[in-house]
Amino acid sequence: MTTENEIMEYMQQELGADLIEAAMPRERRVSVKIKPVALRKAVNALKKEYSMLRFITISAIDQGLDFEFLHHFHVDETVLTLRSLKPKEDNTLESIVDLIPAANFIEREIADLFGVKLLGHPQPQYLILTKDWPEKNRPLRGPLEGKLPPQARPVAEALMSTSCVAPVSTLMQKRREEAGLPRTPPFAFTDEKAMQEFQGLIKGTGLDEKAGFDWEKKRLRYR
Amino acid sequence: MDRQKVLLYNPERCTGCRFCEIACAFYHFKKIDLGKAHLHIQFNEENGEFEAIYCQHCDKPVCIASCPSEAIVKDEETGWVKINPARCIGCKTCTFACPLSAPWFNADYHVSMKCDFCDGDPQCATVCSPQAIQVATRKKAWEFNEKTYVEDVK
Repeated sequence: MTTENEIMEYMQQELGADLIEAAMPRERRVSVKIKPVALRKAVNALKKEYSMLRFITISAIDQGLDFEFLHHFHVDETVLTLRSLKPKEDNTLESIVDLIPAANFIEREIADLFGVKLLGHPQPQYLILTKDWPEKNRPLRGPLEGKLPPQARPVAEALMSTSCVAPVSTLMQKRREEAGLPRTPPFAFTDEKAMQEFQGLIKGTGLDEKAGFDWEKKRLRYR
Repeated sequence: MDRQKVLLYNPERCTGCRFCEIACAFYHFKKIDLGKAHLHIQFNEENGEFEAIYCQHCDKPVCIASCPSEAIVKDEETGWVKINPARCIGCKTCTFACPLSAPWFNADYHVSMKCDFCDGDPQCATVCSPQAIQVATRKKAWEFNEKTYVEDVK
């Protein structure tokens, strides 16, 4: 009899750094969060270890900025879910049809409804949409939108990229002058150390992930 | 455990009259509607046999493991797996999780439903004239199913 902890340990040992988080929300239920590149590796590992592995289904959720794919498996009386988060800009789903033939139709359904591209699928045509369905317009696909309301987006972007948003009023500038200070305080982005500390705070609180900030391009992933 | 009763289906005896489905739907809903039955008879064209799809009341049901609202409970004494309609949220997860898709979604009540063993007197077994569906102990059903299905696969 395989217990939930044994499954979690086995996945941890097989995937290593590709496993982000393994949790057991309820009895006989295991949820494993993995990096999307390790999906096929995880399925291969499951197939190798458990002879009675049964594929249940795949769920896809539009999270605004990302697609969340949940691959559900029935492993020795336990329901195991492999969760992987794929950014919408990437717009692909790795097919596991060659490993698990039963995933054929559900993958095509997800591709139809969400407009994701299937990588390595033998029949990537439409399954439930009509043949003349437009390429761009998909029933369950939402726009690339984060949680921030439109008016807060420029402020959040300026805050995270330059760390300064609030202008100093003329009254305050006058008072600073009277006190013998420069008219405006020094900006955080002029000081490397202060900037690092500030951005460390943002990363620590998870604000960048919630708002969908791209650190490489120094801007939000959506407008 | 030894006294637990389950349904046992013998495909060789089944004539495909579907009286079991009618009886099931009539007992639970007072309607003659085959779509509302908790078990279904399918015709297998490959070997020309009938096959019944019904809840096996598993020892460790995967529907219980998958249910997000803990609406499905297994009675340890009788072995029956039942859905509590007051807790069911109608998400259909049990339908997907079950290998046989035995729980089905009733759109009238917006809950999932499945075989409840008619509280000890299954109507399908009562009306089956060729006795293709019987009430048997879990051990006997296990032995029969192993002989009928597992050895075929091997």
